[in-house]
Amino acid sequence: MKKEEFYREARSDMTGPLQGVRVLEATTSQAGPIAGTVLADLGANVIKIDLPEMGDIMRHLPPFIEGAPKLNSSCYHLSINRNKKNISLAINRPAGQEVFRKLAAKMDVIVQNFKPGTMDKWGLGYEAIKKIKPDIVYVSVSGFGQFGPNHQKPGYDPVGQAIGGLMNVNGYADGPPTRTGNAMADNITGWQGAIGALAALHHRQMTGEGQHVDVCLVDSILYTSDYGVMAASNAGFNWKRMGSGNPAGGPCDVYRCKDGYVFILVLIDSHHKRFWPLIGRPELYQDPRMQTPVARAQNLPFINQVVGEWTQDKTVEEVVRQLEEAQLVVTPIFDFPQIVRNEHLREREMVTEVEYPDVGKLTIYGVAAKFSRTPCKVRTHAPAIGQHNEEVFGELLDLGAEELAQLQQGKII
Amino acid sequence: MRKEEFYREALPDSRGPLEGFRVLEATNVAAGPLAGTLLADLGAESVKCEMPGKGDLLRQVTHCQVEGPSELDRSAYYLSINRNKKCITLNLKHPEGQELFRRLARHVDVVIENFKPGTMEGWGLGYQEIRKVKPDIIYTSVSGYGQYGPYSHRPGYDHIGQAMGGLMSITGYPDGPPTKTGHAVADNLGGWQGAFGTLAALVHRMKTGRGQHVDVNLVDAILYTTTFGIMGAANAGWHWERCGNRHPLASPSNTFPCRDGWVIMAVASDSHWAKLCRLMGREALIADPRTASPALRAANWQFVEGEVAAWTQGNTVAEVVDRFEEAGLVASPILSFEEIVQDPHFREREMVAEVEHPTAGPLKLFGVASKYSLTPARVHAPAPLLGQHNEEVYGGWLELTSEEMGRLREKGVI
Repeated sequence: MKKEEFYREARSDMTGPLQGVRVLEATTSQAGPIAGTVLADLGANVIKIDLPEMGDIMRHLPPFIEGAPKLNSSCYHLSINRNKKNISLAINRPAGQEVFRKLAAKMDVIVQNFKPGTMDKWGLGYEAIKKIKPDIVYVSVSGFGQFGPNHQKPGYDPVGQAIGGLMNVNGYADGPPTRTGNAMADNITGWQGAIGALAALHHRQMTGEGQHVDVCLVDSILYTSDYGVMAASNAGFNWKRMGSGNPAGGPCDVYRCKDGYVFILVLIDSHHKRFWPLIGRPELYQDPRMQTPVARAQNLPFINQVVGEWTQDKTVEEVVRQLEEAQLVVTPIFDFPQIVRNEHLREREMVTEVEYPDVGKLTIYGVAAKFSRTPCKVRTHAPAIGQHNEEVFGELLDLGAEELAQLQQGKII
Repeated sequence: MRKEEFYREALPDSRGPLEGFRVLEATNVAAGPLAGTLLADLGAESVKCEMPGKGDLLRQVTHCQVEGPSELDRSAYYLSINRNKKCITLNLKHPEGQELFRRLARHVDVVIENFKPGTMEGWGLGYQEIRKVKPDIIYTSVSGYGQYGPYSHRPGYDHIGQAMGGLMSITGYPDGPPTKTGHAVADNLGGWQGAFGTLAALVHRMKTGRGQHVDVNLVDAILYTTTFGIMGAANAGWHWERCGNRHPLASPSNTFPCRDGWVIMAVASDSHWAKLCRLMGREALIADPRTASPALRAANWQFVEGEVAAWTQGNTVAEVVDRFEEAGLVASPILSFEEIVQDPHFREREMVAEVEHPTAGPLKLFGVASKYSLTPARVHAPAPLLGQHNEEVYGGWLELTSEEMGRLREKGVI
């Protein structure tokens, strides 16, 4: 399909399928903000709260964009907080808490990721907000959840990966358990928060009732683990680390070339029939070590050695071209400079650009889900702390310039 | 908060927040089915179409099986991810099967498919065809590279999403190869994107009455988890290299060997470092010129982590975790699935759920990750047997008689 075909009925006057949904974020770091990012990317009107002056911790982390203003130059912050509005508000102080409750009364969704109990202590928990906005959808994002024996423990991405079962099956048999290079637990917990908000909005649409949605790092990682729980409980299968390999058989692994690595997967019989002659070992197609998935799983070291010997004196480009010509499954392994240059990812706007004052254009990841009628895109750069104070406090709470100045002086905003 | 407190207003007979929402799946293997799983887990009624006699490819996976008499109902992979669904047999390559699919589509809110782009169109089952019979359909396509773009014709597999989406290049050790995650993260996240693409489109449909085509894929989904990777490369000249479990900007933050396994810890601030030095009995390191600030510790990470490893090696994982917890520091054991199924926290949160399967008996599997105070979502049904719901769906939705069903079965259509 051509891109124009997919978007032939697209509406250019909408921010996305969630246009009109109002979200207030009391979030910091990654997992909470990413829940808001998903909703903002899909077109919702998302207002993120930062503490006055300091702001979100991510604003302080490298790498930084040269020439960008202080507290608004971190690639972390600029990448994940796009498409949002930002207000400064001291929700850790009573006057700020009062303002938060007034704002909450105008929202559809609240997203927060403080340690369980913190928002309650501030008078901003689900029960308190529900009193002033009975149908609120209140999403709490945390490390271990709002309840359960470990709910008080602090949550960090590596803890989510370690407790949720991912690290133990990641990495090589002779090496330590390994975490993913990105903050996978933070990201996907944010996604669970967004899914939870949308599902709860659906229920609200049907019944008028809001509710509290509870998502956390360890649950979210476990939710990606396929058959791990059943393997350990019912199948007596001890899932071990095996690098990039697959316990179901091979060739299915990373292979070294002259100038890098490729991933090759040969799964079905018709592919085996083409693959072994292509690498100059036609006799192996009939070899008993290749005849069944069970045999292939048992002979993985031999298989990987043969394939590795074939790839090692070729370039990545040669291996990819030869296997692709034979309609086999192969892929180069992209680093980010290659991703930035890739024509496919450009056409899909997964590599996209957003205007940024003083710097020009920032290159940034786009929106993963594509909608034929209500397309989504990166509309605005991540805001400075309090960039939308006047707009939000003025429009939603009717606060005038004097009142804003007063709040600013008291370091409430 | 106690669990009872969270659920004090829960509706006792709720299936989840999506109850009443109907899904028809033309899906196979993992990414497409997982989109349906998420919706089914949240209470939707999801009917999955599978090939008569053969079923989903995952039914045929043999390396990890549960007990049971029927070869097609033993794969732990299939049984784990297709819970909460209904299954009908339907041959989508057969013209009569295609006609049945179009008739079924009239009865649902959403169609999810994960064939190679163009395949459903070839069968007369693409978005444009389905909307002729159900104008407000939400039609969600899950694929390797998307419905458009130069690579859209290529087949997609989990590791391709991980390799092309940047994840593999940053996972693993600097002296080792790029590394894939242990389980199929790209398949899972491609599926999740499909589920919330569907839900967002549903919000739009509620407001406007209009359905649409939703296009998600594995590569885009993985890239959507990489936060600053693109901007780092394009705007900050930052080359993101593999660094194992080490944090590139803070130390000690890594996995450390203990007497009986591995522990992971993250110690960043000076106050936390001071607490750790006291725990290790190495107070001199608090003010040592090599380790006195976060920047110094990051620069001298080999020294720092060598000192920490020397201490952890003399302790068990439990000792390190307990002593860290007492000191208000963050350390964690690294759980295997054997440990996860025993863990009281996961039990209480129903993340280790149990369901009764008609042939395999009681099965344990992962629960539902998002918790809803009013409309709890849970594993309420096992993965279906092949064609288990043929009578219910063909008889109930399409009012086919048993003779008609018998005829279709003989022709290999259902």
